[in-house]
Amino acid sequence: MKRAFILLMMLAGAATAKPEAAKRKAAPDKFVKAAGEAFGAAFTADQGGDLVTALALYEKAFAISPHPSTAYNTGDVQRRLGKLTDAIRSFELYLALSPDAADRKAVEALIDQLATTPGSLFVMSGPPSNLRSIDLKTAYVLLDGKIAVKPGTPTTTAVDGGPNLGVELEVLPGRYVLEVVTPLTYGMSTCVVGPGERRVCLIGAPPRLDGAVVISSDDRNLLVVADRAEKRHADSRVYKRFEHPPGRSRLLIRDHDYECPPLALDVPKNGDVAYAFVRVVEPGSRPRCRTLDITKHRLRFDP
Amino acid sequence: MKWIVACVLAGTTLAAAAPDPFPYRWPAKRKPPIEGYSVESLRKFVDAVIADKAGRPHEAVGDYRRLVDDGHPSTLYNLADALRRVEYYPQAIEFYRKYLAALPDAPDRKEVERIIEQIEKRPPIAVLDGEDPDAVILVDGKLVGPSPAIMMSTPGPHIADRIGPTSYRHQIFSSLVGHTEHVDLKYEAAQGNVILSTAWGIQLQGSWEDSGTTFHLRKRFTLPPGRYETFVKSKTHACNKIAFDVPKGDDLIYVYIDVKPGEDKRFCKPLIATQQTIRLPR
Repeated sequence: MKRAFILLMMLAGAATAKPEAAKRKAAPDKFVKAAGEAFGAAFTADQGGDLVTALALYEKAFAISPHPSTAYNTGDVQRRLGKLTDAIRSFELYLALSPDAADRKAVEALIDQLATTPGSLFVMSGPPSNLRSIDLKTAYVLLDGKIAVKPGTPTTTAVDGGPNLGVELEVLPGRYVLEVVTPLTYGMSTCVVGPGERRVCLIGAPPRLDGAVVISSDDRNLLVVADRAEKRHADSRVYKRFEHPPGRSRLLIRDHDYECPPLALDVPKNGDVAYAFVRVVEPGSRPRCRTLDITKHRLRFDP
Repeated sequence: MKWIVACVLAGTTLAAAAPDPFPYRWPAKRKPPIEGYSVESLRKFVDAVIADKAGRPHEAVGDYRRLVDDGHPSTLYNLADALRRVEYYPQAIEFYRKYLAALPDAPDRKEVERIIEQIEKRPPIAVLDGEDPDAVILVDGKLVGPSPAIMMSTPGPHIADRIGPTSYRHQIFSSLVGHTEHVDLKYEAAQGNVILSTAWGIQLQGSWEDSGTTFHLRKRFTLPPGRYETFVKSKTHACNKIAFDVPKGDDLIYVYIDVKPGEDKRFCKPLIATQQTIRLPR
């Protein structure tokens, strides 16, 4: 809002010449003039609390003639409307358009704050009559390999009043691998939560999947196999629950064409599940096995 | 993986005075759009910046690539910078050069030329790995660590040996300045408690019998515990004797055969055998 006056003056082509040496600027071109009008109308709507109209007019002004202040004010309105992902984009646009902005640090801090605003995930399965529904009351729910919910946790109804029961999890913005492991089965899904967003993530699984091992990862390119002869992606044990001989065991990990350090597992034989999540620390492909961070759990189930 | 990190860090320490020899680790440096961007291009540019800042440089590369036809210097520079950080070095150099061509009076020309030179002259890196778990890797007779291993190499030919619980592979590889070499030491089934490996250029080969014992070069074989002395023979020369000890137990004896530094390896020169005990992970 602080930029409104200055910008209106600029967009209107206001002359600041001294009286003794008249140097009038030319009239603003039609685009600058139209953008100025849209900006002014947006400003008025914003002051009047009509944020939806203000946003549309700021976006119109920017589309006619881009200006850093328009980008800033767009972001400010988007922030107040709770559209945090859009607000981040607008503030970045502002910084891109005014690299020497005096308030750069403050805007960067604001972007960081918005980008880390927690959102929430409502994890639910289908109705019990559905073949692929999971009984969440008996389940471990894992997010990116971390146990988010243990068996016995009560389920709740979604805030929006939907019929299905589930569990609500507060999470930082990001893409998550969501997994559910019960005594009977295993299900996996991926869910994306934006800053401040509330998302429903539906998960299902076959009624029965046997096995004492579950391997997971945040990268589908990773291959985890039990034998070096298994080289196809179809052979990979990632996102699978499978049988494996009890006791200490080593599984092979391959990252594209590269060998990774093996995954050591202690496979139980009493109905528990050995779970491992292989997180790839470096982004994208690399000319080597990327740095891996492995989280392991023993998921205990009452016999 | 800790081994890899340790090797990489060790390499960095050795070159403390020089710039970090791994260009992908240099910090990100992005330029703002200066002028001439359409609204649509600006939005794409910002999408690239957001992806890059969020730790998705490959996505940023894709976003910048969609803008390169516009020829804006900032796009070319930022694309080069992102490509460098994802280790696509030849492409990074290509776009640094395109940036300089698009902005002949670039105020940072010297710095960009220095970046190009440092990427082109970065030390050779060898990525050594294989197929079976719990193997160890030796390069030029020295234990590097468990497989896989990443090491800063020196230009020229080298010998890699990969020893697994049931495997052995001997392979020559070559290192070049400004290149990363993937040395894929594929699985070759082998059992035994002795390996006689040779340095690059040693033109000895095959097997021979000496005092009732059969010895093999560059193979894994079994010998009972004891002290062994034998002539190492080439096709045409009988070289000097080498000696090594095979102790009791499950450990593997690795003997690396070389000549003195600076000697011409093509002919039979006094051989030096260095013995070490390899304890494979269990």
